[in-house]
Amino acid sequence: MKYLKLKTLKQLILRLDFELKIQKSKLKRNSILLSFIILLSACVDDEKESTDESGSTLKTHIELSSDSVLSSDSVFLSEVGGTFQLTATLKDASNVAYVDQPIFEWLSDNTTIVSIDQTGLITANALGQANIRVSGGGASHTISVTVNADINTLNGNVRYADKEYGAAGFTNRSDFFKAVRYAKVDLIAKDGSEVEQTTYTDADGKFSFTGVLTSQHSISVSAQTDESLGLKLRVEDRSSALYSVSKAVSLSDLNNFAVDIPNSNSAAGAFNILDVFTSAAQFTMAYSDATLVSLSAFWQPNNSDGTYFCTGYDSSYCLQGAGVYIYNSVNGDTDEFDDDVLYHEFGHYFAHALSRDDSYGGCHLLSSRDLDLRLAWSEGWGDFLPSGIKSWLSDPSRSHLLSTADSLPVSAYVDTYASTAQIYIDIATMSQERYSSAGNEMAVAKILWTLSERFGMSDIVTVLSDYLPNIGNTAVNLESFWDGWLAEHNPSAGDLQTLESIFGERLVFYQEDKFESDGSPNDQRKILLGQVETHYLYRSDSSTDSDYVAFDVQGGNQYTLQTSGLTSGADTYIRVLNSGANPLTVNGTIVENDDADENAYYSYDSVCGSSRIKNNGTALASKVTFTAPSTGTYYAEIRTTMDPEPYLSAGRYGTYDFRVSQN
Amino acid sequence: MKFIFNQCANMKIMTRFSLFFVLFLMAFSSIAKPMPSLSMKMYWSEGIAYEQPVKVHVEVVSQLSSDNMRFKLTLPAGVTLVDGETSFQHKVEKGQPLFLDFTLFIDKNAAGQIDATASIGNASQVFFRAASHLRVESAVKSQKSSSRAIAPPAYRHTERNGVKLREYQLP
Repeated sequence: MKYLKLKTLKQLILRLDFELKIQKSKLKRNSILLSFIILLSACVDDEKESTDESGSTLKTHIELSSDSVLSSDSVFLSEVGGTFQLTATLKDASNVAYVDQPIFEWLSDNTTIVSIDQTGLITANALGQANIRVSGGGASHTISVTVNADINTLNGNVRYADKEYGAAGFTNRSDFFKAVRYAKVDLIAKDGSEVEQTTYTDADGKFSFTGVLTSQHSISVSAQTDESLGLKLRVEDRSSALYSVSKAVSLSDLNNFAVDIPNSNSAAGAFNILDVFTSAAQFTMAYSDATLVSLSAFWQPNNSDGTYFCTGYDSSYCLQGAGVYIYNSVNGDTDEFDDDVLYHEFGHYFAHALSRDDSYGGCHLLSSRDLDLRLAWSEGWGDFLPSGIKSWLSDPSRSHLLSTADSLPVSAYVDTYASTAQIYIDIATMSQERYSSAGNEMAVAKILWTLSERFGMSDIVTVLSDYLPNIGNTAVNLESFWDGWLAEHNPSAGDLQTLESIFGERLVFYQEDKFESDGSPNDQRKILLGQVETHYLYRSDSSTDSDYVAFDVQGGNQYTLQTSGLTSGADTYIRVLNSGANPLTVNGTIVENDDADENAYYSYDSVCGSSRIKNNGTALASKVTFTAPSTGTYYAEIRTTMDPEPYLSAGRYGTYDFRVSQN
Repeated sequence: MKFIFNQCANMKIMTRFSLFFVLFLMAFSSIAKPMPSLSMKMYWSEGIAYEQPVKVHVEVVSQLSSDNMRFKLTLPAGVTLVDGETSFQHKVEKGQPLFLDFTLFIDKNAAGQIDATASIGNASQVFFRAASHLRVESAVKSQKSSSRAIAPPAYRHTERNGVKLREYQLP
């Protein structure tokens, strides 16, 4: 509006000036009138031009642009005859363009080298250097133009600003730049959409282009890795647009063309996601037969659904198909720099692509000890993998790829909220009391961590990739991992003892208990009424474990037999045998029980705010009450349920307490 | 004087009659007013959001059953349906609410009105019709001064060699 008035005034002056030329006879009278109009208008326009609504002074300036990305103050043409289109824009002090733009005047100070027409089109006439000056709207700008046919190689380097983290969260370390590795780099020309050449950065973020380079060229780096290296990784926003950055080719630094993505630029987050998944993919290829890791990540501000992995499309949370969806909530919790969270999600990809994952997902808390064993295994593997990958990265040849502060152990898992650690847990040293049983994901993580330290990562990956995908109807959980370890590695007696110790440290007992000679009624021992015995449902010969316990009864008295304190997914069944070791029947019904409370295993969780399956020690326990028909020694048979549709959430092994009481 | 009094009396009678007549009409209209045969309401299930999927809930209630109630969702530029159809026919039962849920994607520059219409009729005539609207305001706040252009975003969506890009320009 302000500039519009000035322009109108100029037009008015020009029109009046024209009229003056053809109507000389009216010169004197009109000149008086014109002087008055100019004076009046100039006063008005000067005021509009110099102040805004608040009365503050505005300083206009000219900004130059081109169809391609333009460097700040220089244009580079590599061949005589080449052209380059400049566009000028008049902007205010806030760098906002005026709607109505003036007519600009373009001038070259050496037309032998470079000429320019009044549309801003530069033409290179000879090798050398010249300056172009553009003026209009009371402002002017000068730009250097160089015509040089010798420079035709660009050596570049791409980096992004990472965030270092420690036990308390991000450390605010400055200048923490990392190389953008194996990323796609395009040399863009002319109208910004024409790709002239494509290459990929190397392990140090370096790249090179050779050919005719001009100031019309720009570099575009995409968050997409080199598939020829087996890295089919990409980071997209929620509209499936690939993250990328572009920068104009600059004459002054063609031999060291730096593309630095600062942490103030949102693209830095996308390139950290790419870097974390690149490390995870390299780890995967180092420990498995995989030759291609194909994973997409979807990250965009205002994604408040959380960070999660989808195996394919669904209309609720997986609208862009398979991939990792990354949290970026408006409430301050974002995960694009939470490497451990990203490695965790990569773990789900790993399990899906290279192993088998039976988890149905859903609510899970780090301290829950009663999770569905499939869920506990899936999340526990995901909780462990960040430590496994970071341990691999801590090798001196790769340690520059870590984002952790020196003081942070690789076994620590950190999830930040607004720069502060919301979750910090060191799986190597965490509490046994809080994190134990096969139904606890952190206990699973701790077991895997200790196994990796004791036997190496390869032994773990072998079970995941070679054994678990081939177990038919058996559920994938810590039990099947144990079975797989025995099958794949055939451990020596000493190693088996080490294994039992590693699992037992988290109160997971895949071993025969001290009563294991109780495999038949003939091996019976007597239990005293009210006495509690702890048994493990496990047989080293892989057969189904049935425990028999003898107890004395008086005819006519009522007795209760029950299991309790079930851990690690135990799901018991009790049957009473009479003194002849035959199933006891009362009124024609066998005295037996599978689940004391048929509805308890799927119950409401106040923390999750929803119902979920619970292996909580009582839900799958068994209980029978009967009146002894005669005096004598009876037997209790306790074993894993033989339910024709066993809950896959529970286990085949596990631990239980047993007691006989007289009512 | 008597004339004046009579005039006043007449006026009182007329006033009372008029008042009664108005009340009668109001009462009659409220009784005789037919129930709407087709009604609809539409709202954001979880509030409006930009650049991400958002859910819209529609409820249609018909006072007569129809196997071919026609439904149509008209979206302004910048608003797209993530999946499903914007126009279809659906069965409605008399008095039974029909719940329809849609997932939309709204560009932050989108502005306009989402129109939902439901109608029951035959090939040549619409017997009953209901409509509901939702406004979509651009998430990009326009500047007060018309002389100012809108500041460019930190990135631009572009396409190069068939690849859709979210490109950030570095200085």
